[in-house]
Amino acid sequence: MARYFGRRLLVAVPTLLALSFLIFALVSSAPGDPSEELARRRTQDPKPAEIAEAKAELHLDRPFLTQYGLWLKGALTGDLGPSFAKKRPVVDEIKDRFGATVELAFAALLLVVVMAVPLGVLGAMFHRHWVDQGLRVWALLSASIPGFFFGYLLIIELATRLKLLPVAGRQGLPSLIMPAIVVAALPTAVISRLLRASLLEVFSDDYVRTARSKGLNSFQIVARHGLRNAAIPVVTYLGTVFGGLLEGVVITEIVFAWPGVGRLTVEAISQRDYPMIQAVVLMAGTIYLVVNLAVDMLYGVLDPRIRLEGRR
Amino acid sequence: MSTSGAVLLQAGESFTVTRGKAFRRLVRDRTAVLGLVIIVLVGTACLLAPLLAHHDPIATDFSNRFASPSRSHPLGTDNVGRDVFSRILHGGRLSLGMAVSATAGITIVGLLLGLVAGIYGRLAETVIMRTVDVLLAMPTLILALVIVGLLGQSLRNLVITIILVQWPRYARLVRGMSLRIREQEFVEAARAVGATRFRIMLRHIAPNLVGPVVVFSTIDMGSTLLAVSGLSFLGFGVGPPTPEWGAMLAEARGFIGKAPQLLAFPGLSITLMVLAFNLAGDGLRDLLDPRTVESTPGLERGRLRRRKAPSPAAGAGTSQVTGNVIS
Repeated sequence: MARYFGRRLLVAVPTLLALSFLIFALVSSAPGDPSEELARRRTQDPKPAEIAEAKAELHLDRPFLTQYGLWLKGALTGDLGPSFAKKRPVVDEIKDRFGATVELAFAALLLVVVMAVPLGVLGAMFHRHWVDQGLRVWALLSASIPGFFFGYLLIIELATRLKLLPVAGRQGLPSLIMPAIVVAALPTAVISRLLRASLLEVFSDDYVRTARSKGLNSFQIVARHGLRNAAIPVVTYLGTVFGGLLEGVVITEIVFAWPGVGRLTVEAISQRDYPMIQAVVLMAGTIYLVVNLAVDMLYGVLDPRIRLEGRR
Repeated sequence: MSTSGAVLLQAGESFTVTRGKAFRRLVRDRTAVLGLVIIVLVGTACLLAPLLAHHDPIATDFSNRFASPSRSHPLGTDNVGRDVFSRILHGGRLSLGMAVSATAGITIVGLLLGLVAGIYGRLAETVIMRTVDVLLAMPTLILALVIVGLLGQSLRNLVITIILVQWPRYARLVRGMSLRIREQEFVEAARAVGATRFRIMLRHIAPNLVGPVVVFSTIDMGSTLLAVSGLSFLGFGVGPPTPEWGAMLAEARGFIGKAPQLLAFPGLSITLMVLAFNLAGDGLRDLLDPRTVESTPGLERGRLRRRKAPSPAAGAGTSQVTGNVIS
């Protein structure tokens, strides 16, 4: 087990390093001179000395690799430079926005779990029944509707017409409901269908037939034998689902004017706020990588065949 | 990440359906046919936009703003009196055109780089596959945002961006498949008679890959359209007044209380097309995994069957094989 985890970690570290380099190089290659940009945002008509000062602050007077090294060192110590647009350190701005995104992501995740498991079980137990067909249609629709359209549909119905919920912004629990539904829609559809397919496979296994013949009812079979075994294929997709969650958050935060990191990312890109872009993308990449690592490990825990692979 | 590669590979292997049989099976699958019909109808309508829509999609008419649907304006007019029907059709040319060209680009780049990595080995393989690993370690939309943000707003840049973030999955798939094919006897025979590596790649391995890869990219068309229109919605596609579905939706946000239909038409267009691509893709995926259809010809989907006890998991494995799971 330790060996399996160790090997996974060993792969993750260089990937993260390469990722950070890619992000840094990508943003550094943007046209224009960032130091002039930074100086101009501070004063209307910057003097050469002020531009030089900005240049030194952004380490742009150093060779490229030194710049990268300094940036990486800063990233590890929690200093990712000054934001062009916000007139404050990048890290402070992200700290303020992070909570909102975590809140949204967790609310969505909660919805996914609460909805996907029962719907998946229902689909499997009513295989080929109209219930299953209905769920299939619903899943297809959830996968086909763009988040930015679904979000506005909810706003039109629930906020503008019925006036049940606030249109946008972040003011307490009611304002969290619609964004969470939009973010959760696709992952719920994906996981519930996966769970259904996985359960159907489990249902045809011998031990389920044994359980049935010794008189357990369908509910007991699903609870005791089905879910645990069906979970394994579902877990493999959790990483993908989480990636979808991160992406769903970006669009949803724009639609609902949710003050989170996703909206910050789009803002930073439209405002060409380079240090901010580097920081948020590095953060997203790191989180994505860590989650995928965790999923891989969870998979190893659940399925001994995986972690023993390569020992033969 | 690593797992989905294996999954795709497995799917590629099972692509051994003969063409005639595959076509018959696809036609029998009624929801897939429905998807194909929608794609053909809407695609043709968009191509023929100048003939079907009588109004100029960007001509404004301030005396006729927010008009309700009428004979002259089948879907009404927008906030500056432009004909919505005409804008939807012309917008479809751009939205669908971008999705199609991005898909073609992804397929070609993925196929080429995957082949090179699979055939030439050593340095080429290391460079290409490590790049793939790093690119796949990023959430695609966020990477796409950065790239399109740096390249600047334009249709061409949007397509390039989608290709840049999506090719790695295809390269991984192609490399895996070409590694398998390389071990087969006919390749060995070619090598024995003195064929060069390049010739083996071009004449013996590539032709066996094109089929499955094209099928995969078709399956992905729906999500490519979603990505294209999403980035366009965020303002990285066309500028006003050019009609494009994602951009039209973004523009209609300002009139959500006054004229929600302006938002509904482009939204419904995107949803319908993504749905159609997904339906058709489902049908294609079944071709990759014959288990589904052979056990219950033509009955796996669409028709209602009252049977509570699950049969020995006829369709259970399908969705796991090819990654896309809505089936």
